[in-house]
Amino acid sequence: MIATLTIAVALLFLLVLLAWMLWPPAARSNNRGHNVRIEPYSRLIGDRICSEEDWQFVKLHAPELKAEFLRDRKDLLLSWLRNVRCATAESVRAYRTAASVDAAVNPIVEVRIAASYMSFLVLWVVARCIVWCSNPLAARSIIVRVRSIAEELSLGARQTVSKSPSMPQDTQV
Amino acid sequence: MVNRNLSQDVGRIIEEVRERSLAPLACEMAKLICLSSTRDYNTGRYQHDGLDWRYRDKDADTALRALHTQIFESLVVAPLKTLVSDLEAFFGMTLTDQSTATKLWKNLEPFRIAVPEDSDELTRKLFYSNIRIALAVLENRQSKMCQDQQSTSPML
Repeated sequence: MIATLTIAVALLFLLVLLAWMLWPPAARSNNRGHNVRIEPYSRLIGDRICSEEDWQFVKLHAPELKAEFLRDRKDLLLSWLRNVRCATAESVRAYRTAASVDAAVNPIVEVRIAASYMSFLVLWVVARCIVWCSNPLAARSIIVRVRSIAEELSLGARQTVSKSPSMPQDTQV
Repeated sequence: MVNRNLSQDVGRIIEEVRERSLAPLACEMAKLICLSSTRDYNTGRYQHDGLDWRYRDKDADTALRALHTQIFESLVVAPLKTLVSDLEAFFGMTLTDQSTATKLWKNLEPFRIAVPEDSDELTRKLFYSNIRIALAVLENRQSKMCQDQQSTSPML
């Protein structure tokens, strides 16, 4: 019983630690170099980086470039993942700001957003590890999952911000 | 009212440039090079003699900038296969030997100046990577063609 409880507390601690590590500091969230909105174009870029079609083309027409292609794609996908994380953190930050001034926010929605963000962070770390250790094409399915959670979070945050009377309507989330 | 007129003019310029200047160009790379060549590399402003005397400088600049970004972004997300064909068509238009053009592009990387100013780093990197791969594929094809020609030509 005590062992189970200890493991549960340790896991919880690890999750909190992970969230704390991955949550960018406020100073970084003001960085204008990042695109803070998960745009459809970012989705296209992600798809192109992980494209099976391109990989097959390189294998067929320039097999000697396979290593270079995978190396390039790996760097690109890691950059893409960083951008998505920044954009998602920015969305959640905007959501938290809007929620903190809006008394009518539904607690169930709050919990759902928190859970989504936690799962996003865990999946993001897993995706990054797969890309780092293996190759970008192996991480395709998890990348799709990371992206869809990021898009959900972005949409949820945008809706909350647009409903919030005290937030500027042009706030980018 | 001023804003409405401004956006109408920009829209008109975009259509005009699309129809008159870009439509005759057979490939996207040629359009990209054409649009990037209208940019002054010291000021970053886009200028087009045919537009400047009919529209405000600012409108011509906004329209050409938007078009440049559009063409660039469509090329970046194009499949490698399409990019290789496009590049091949572009080199075909230049009236120079394709292998010379490929070698020059590989060594000097002139495609770097065809990138719009406001594009983000990731998009640029993907573009450079794709072009480098496409050039290598073209080079491979050209060397294979050379080998085939040598093997089929009669021994002297």
